Amino acid sequence: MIQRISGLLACLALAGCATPYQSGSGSLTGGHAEVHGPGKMELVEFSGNGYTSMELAAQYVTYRCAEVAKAKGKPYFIMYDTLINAARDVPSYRPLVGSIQNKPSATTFVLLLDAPRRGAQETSAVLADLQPVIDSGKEKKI
Amino acid sequence: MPILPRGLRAALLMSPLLLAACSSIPDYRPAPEEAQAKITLLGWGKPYLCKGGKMFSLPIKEDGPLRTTSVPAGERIGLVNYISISGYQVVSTCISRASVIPRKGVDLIVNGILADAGKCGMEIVREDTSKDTGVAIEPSFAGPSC
Repeated sequence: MIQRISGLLACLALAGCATPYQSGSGSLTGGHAEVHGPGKMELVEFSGNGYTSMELAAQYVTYRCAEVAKAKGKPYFIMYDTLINAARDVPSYRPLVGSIQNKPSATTFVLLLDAPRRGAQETSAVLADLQPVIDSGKEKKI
Repeated sequence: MPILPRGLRAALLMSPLLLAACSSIPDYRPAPEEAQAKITLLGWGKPYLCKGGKMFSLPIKEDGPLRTTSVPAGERIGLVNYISISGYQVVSTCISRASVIPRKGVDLIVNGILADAGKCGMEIVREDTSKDTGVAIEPSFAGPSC
């Protein structure tokens, strides 16, 4: 019984150590960041620590794309996981996620839109869908 | 030693050698009136130039988050993207290679990609201001040349 409780507490402690949804600018523990370009796109990324799952990093980036779109008054956005897919206009519904030293990094190129087109996601729908992930710090099971 | 992917483990063991090697790589200095092409750098890593079988460090201009460099135009060149991350008292490295034929007046974008389990890659596209994505396929983008 004590072992089970210890295990549960350890899990909770580790979950609490994951990089929260935060701006990564100037942060030593990671977070989200954006760089303008190429074209009208923005490169959005989230870097997590060793306690952040790759799926959580991916969902944080998707949410951040929606936040950026909302801040600029754009009701839709398209994600491209690579520049080659952006050049081919092949949208993605998931960022590119990698890791080094067991720390995940999710990146995507986002194009903000005034009207829907093939592969576009609705800003308000993504914000509503992923808000529980932001509030809880736990990934949404897909 | 913890269980690590074979590539990352090799990179960890090789990293002191690689770092020593990179620190001694000469800067690329274009010959007078040599045609140049601009490259914008995105993503992970620092690229090195491989030309005529020799490696050169590419001087990088930084303007805020924007990083650019110049490479020789008109011939196939190799690019080697070197990612190095330190932490947990170890240095992890990942190297990817590709080649391209830059052309004068055609700006390129190199994006250093981090993949799963310590793997990495590089993609090269050309800038295309006529498209809202700002990029187009670079037809000369290919595998390593040297």
